[in-house]
Amino acid sequence: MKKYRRLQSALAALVVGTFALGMVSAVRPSGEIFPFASWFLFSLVPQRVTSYQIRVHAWGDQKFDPPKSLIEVDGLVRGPQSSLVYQLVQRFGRAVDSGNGAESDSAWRLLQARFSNPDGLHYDLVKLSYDPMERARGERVERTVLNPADRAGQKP
Amino acid sequence: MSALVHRIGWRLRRAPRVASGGTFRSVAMRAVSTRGLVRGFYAYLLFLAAVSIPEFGSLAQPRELSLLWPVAWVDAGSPSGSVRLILGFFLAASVTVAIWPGPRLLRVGAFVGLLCFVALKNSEGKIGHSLHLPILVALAFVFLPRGWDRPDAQRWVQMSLLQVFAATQVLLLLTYTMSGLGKLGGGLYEWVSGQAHPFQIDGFSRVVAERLLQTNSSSVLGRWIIDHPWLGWPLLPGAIYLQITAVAAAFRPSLHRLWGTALILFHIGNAFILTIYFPHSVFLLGLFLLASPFAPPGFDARQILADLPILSVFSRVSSRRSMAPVKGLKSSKNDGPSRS
Repeated sequence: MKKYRRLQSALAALVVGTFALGMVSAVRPSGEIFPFASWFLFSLVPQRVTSYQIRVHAWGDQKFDPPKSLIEVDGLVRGPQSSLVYQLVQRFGRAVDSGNGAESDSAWRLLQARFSNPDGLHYDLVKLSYDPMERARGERVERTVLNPADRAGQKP
Repeated sequence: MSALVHRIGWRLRRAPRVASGGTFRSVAMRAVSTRGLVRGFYAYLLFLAAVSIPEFGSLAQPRELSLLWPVAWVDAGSPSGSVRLILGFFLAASVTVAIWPGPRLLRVGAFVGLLCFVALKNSEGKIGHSLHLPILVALAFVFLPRGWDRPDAQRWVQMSLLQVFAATQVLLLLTYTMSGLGKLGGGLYEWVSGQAHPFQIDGFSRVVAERLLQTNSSSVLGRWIIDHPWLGWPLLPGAIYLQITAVAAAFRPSLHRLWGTALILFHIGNAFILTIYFPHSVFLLGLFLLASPFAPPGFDARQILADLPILSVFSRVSSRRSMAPVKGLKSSKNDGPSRS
């Protein structure tokens, strides 16, 4: 009976701990205490969105005019439609926008690790501002170029 | 009078069968099916390891990583060798535990192997959540009592086995409740602050539009939801209800299969609308809720209605209304037992 009660306490601690660590993960600046997630997925409805986009002007022998979004260039990135690539581009864009060199270096290296071949890559970083419903219907998107496309395969 | 007799008979049929020894028998029977489900989980873990083998090559390639804490030691020595060690350990631990799930040490090994494997997969700059639930289940199953896999186990061992399984069900459904609380909290904040929120007509359409724009993808139903916001409107508040009340459903066996089905449909819907895939969660919901050893046999709609979190108040109201003429009959003739 003693073992049974001890087991009950341990299981209760596991459930309460999972909840508590998940809540801590939600507010912790450095993010999730893996594997105890907050599970706050899609907890906010998008309002007017500010996001970043890497536009590719050239890659190897291919030229793109008008430039193509990084995730639209066939074969350049592994898993281009994954949310991982999207999050890395956002992390990189935020860091460049705020002038955080160390963070932009780190984000770029992680992103570059997913490139099949970064040679001959010319791109620029663009800041977008839009309403998701309007953009989905093909309406206006505000674009601000954050850096010119003058470096091949280099972090701006 | 016939309505009253029918209701009493229904309640008696639902009463626990303690006097006849039914409870003891049901513990043994539930323990038998629970043993099968635990073994099923470890067979699934082996399947997970086997289908991941094609990924092993790319995971072992030297590349920039943002290592999560379970695999932070990888950088200390040769990263490529350490990654191979993790992958080999995960595969070996999964094979071993699928064959011998009894010893706790092997279950701990399987948990550590899975934890490190998933941590490695998520060390590329963003943490995905599709493999978190198997980790939590593997962690909970470490607590299975010694001798849980023996058919002639003592009753307290069988009770402990059921206790661990029930706690794992709570753990699984708690993650959905946490997700629902996030959506409700975020939604109420947006509503109060005058922003677009999940309860307005185009709330869900906005979520779908932004998700598809982010990933430059199209989905089977996504465009349709964006073009007809009012058709997608009930889905988000419905999902919030389903998620928030999930942990309550864990404590109401009559709801296990219903919530399992609803959450599986929720994941299938997410795949068709948002291109978000949680196949491992679908499997675990099937294992722990559709095949729940605590779920009553058959389909008792009245019991389900009575147990529905929050909404059961409506079934109570309708039940009181249906009892009203019976009460009137009882008071006029004074020949029936008083209702407790």
